[in-house]
Amino acid sequence: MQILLNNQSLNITEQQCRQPLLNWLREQQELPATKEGCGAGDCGACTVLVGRWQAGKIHYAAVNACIALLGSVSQCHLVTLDGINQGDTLQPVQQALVDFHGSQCGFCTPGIVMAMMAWWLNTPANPMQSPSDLSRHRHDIEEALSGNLCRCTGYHPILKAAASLAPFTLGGEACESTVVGLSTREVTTYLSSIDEPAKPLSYQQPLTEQQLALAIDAAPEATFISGGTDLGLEVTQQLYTREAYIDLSQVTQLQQIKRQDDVLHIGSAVTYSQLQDYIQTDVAQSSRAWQKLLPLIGSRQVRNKGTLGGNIANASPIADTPPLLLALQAQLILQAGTQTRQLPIAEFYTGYRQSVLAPGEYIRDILVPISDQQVHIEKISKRYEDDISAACIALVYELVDDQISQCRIGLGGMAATPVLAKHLQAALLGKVPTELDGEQILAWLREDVTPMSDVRASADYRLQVCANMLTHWFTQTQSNQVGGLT
Amino acid sequence: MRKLPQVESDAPLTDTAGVNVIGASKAHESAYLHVTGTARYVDDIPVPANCLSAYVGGAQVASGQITKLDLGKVWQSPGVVDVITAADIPGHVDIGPVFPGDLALAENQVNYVGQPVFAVLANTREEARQAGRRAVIEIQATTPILDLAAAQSAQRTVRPSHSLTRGDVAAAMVQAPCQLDIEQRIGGQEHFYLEGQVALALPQEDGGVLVYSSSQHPSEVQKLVAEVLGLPMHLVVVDMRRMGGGFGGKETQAAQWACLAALLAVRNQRAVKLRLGRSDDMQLTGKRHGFVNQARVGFDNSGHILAVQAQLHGLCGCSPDLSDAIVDRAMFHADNAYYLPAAKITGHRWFQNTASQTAFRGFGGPQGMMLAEQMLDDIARRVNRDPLSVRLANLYSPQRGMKTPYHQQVEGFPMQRIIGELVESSQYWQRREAITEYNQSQQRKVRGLALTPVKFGISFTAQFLNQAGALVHVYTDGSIQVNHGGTEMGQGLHTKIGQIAAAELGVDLSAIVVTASRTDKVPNTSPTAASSGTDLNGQATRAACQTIRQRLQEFVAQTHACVASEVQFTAGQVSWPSGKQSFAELVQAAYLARISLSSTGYYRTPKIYYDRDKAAGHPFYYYTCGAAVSEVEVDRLTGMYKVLRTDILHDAGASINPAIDIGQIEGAFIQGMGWLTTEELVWGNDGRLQSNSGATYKIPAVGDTPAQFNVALLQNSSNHEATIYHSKAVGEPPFMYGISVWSALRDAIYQAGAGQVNPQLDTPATPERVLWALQQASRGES
Repeated sequence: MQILLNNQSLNITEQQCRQPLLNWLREQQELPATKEGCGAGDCGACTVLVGRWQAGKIHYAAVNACIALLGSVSQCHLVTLDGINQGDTLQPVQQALVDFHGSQCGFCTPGIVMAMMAWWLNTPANPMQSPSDLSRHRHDIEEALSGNLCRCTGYHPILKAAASLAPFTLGGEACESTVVGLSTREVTTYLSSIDEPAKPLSYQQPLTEQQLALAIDAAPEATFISGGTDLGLEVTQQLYTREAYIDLSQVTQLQQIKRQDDVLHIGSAVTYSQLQDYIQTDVAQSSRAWQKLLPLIGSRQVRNKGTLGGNIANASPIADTPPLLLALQAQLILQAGTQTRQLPIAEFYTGYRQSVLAPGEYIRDILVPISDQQVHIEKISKRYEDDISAACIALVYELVDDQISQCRIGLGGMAATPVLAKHLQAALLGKVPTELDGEQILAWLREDVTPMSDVRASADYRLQVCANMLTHWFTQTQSNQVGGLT
Repeated sequence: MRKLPQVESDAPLTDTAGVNVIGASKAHESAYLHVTGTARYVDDIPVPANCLSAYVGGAQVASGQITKLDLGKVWQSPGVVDVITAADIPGHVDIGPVFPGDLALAENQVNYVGQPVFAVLANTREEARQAGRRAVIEIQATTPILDLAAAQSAQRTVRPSHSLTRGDVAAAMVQAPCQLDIEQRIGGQEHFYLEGQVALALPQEDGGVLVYSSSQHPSEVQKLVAEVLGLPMHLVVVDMRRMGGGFGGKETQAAQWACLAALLAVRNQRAVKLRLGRSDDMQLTGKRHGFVNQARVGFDNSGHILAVQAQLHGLCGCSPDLSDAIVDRAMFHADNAYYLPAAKITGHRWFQNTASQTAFRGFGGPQGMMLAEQMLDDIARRVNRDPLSVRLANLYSPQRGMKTPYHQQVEGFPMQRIIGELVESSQYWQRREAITEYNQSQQRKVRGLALTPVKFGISFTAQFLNQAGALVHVYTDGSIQVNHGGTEMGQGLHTKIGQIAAAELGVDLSAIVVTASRTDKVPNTSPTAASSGTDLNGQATRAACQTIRQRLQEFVAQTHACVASEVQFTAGQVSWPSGKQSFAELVQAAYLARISLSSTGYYRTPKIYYDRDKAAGHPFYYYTCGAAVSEVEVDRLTGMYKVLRTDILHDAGASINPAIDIGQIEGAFIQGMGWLTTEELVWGNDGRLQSNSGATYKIPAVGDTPAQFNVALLQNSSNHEATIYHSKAVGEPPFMYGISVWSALRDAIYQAGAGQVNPQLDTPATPERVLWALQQASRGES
């Protein structure tokens, strides 16, 4: 396998493929600028840029190096802070951080610089016309830095530094890659020279479904990995590395999103960030719910790497997208060899971290209806950015003659798997929403789920917030208010 | 040196340093290194090719006797080079900083989950970590003590209780027209320094060892490494260039890892690095103490406090560590900014089967202050006045009284002025009205507002720690190296020290380099703690610079026939009535005339003393003061909340570097807010820390910074005491501005209950606790 690290083309050995990218950078490449703060994708001190072809240009995305296996970023342009440093002159992002006193202990700073670089490179010039106005693009900056913890500054000077930046402009031959001293042509030449993947058996990263089929034949016991934002923790926290991985994230056919009639066909390797971009201007009720949920999933770094298919297949009870997918009655297309089957997501989970997926079978597409019914979503957590939900509640319903005629309630964090609250759904049919009572909803809900008490919240709290949200959504004045935003 | 370097007669100036360098907002001395990733932390130091990695291993039991320790599988694990237990320690096993109780490796008894029982050395860090999990340790477990009730029923303390008393409390309490009782539970806090605990040890030719340790207290690490190894201290050197955050977590608790790395290095004559992973760091090292505070307060009908009787219960973990002083400081701050006419404040130090809790920014002060602030809010609600009015009525004042419960006279207390200006700039009263109106509209969200003051005592309460040394070298090209006893952990200490040296010698800031803290340059130093870094080391640096300046002045006076006091150092030039030359030229002339160009400096804080037997004295040289106003918005359905706006006015005296001081204030506020809101430590019934990662322990993220955040320094202020340029310490005091957020949350909940219920809100005030308090308020339960 090969990788373009800053301006250097390097070969990766089979042994190195399953190693965390951060360890390879710090220990084998002797590049200590990229820091390990937590080793678990929670702090962002290890943020690096991964450059790949996307929509006709090289797109640089911020990712956490600590939990990315090296094999997952082969065949791309990997940029670390070392590559950003060009002579004695600081990049505008770096200079702004100095000018606004944006570093104190400095340990998170390399990650902050890289996350801010990604934002700066990817932000169209237009919204940044008024650089001194923090409130104007505060939301964007917060999203860009959502995965970067700083324990010293309180973030205020960092926010101000980002807001002060003049737009990144493309002029002449310049492009994003020029900030690391390479022309687009050089990066392109490199990337196109390696479109044929090397295939070490311990980490295969096929680029097409045909290659994927061959990969599965070659290593039938291999573990599928997609974004790896959870599986990577096995390596760094449990100190457990699998014998072999097959990486689904670069399979072209799995990266497509298309809309057919009123159904979104989302390839399983579509990242949260890609879905966020795709759906950001859509006005359907369900799209607005996605617009509310997606920024609350992990951090920007996690959203850049994590995929929808991984979120589902990982079968975690606290996965963020399944509650909404359940409520929207999403269907999954599963592929095993030449066999394809389709089933509702409600039939996918079989137990705690278990699903119907057979060995060698993977999720190919997720079919998500676009709905203009009433769609609501709420993620409950201690912190807004980069937190795991104590509970996640999704509600889709419809009224006929002021009575509930259809109703689906998806719950996360409330049971061993993401679930539909079937008992509650049935009980609600025929009811007039404004006449519903919170105590009654809570009582029905208790018949569906018996959540756990753990480090995030007590069982009682989980039940109470679900009941509160549902009651609120049903009883609030019916209007075009969307996504439970009020 | 036979030939001196070439120097300019007009030194180029990069700024106006040496003229207005004090009070200038200079960038952090490492800012360029930070943003380019070239700032070196311990784990970034290039190591010799033969460097090995160490890790620790322990049992998953919180309390019990070790009955069997089988390390066979550890030895057999791939890459293992050495394994040690307490029996292999040649010197002291106990590395307690003040009192015994902290073991480099546990011997027979384990006192918390994961407590290191052995250390393993392997070729790579991965191999050492793997091997660390392979021991077979059998424990005869005993029931762990994991809360106040268990400690009380077992009567297990780590140190004796202590009381402060002033006035006849019992009589004043009985005579008070109103009384109320308070019980509050305050959670601890994980430091979450971004750089975890780490040490690198290199054996030296003389049997000694050089240790790079991420420590706030290199001298103590030096002493403990020497004791563990059975070496004299002069064979141990500790080097500390910078930490990736400390916050108190590296005051005592960096030592264990340094001692183990040093022992393995000397034993194997190989370089050894020991770096804890994040979850082990969280499980194995101490945190801010949780407290349970109980009090009865007597007051009059308009809310004036008449008597306070308080019990502060600190949950100290398994050893004394610094808990004696931490609980003392909580007691010293239970008054906060308010005069207590009669008070008895008792502090207890309870044992827990957890890692030993330790220093954390504020050092007990925040936990004491929480009691004062709850007291004021509760009184205000009882007498039906705005909490701000009741706070103002109770401040220390010449009319009301200026003596603290520990009999120190409060001097230089600008609180009335601070609150007055802040009420104005934050539009407190206008917003109070607007919020009341907003809340009456009964929307999904409810808002709250609170102003809380901070008065924080500056000095180590252990008198002998209030001393510092510095070593300044002037080289023959005019460049200057400054060494001092403080350590840099991001707080900008080295930047301020550089400014002080530049000002004293009248040179450009670029002429100064402040080096790594090293025990062979400045010996017997105090920890960089208690907000005292600049106060102590700044004065010592100043003294060293003045000695050199004086020698140069006398040399000029002799050679140019003038009076020494007429020789001026400014802007890189030295001038006297009949001439001038560049600083570098003068230095060369002085060198050739055999004038010493190096000097130590020394400082000890005057005036301070404390008689613990009488619980009276003057433990603090002065107080740093300020106040904060926060407005919050709470979701009635989920208990989730946001801080909409915070205004802070802080008295930094005559600030040496306003940008750095504002950075300290902003960062401390957010850290204090995190402590009281989202940062929740959860231990299971088995004593295991469940919140042991960034995924389960939530420090504030970027979106938690208030949308409106106005921080200002009190203008035209000057410390009435003769501190370095009359500045005031800034590291810890602003942490306690976070209390304004907690108080505002209680205000919002109070208003959600239409002012009928004074809400109980233990901390951290997670969305869950807030939701329960909201329910309580809306049901009218108190």
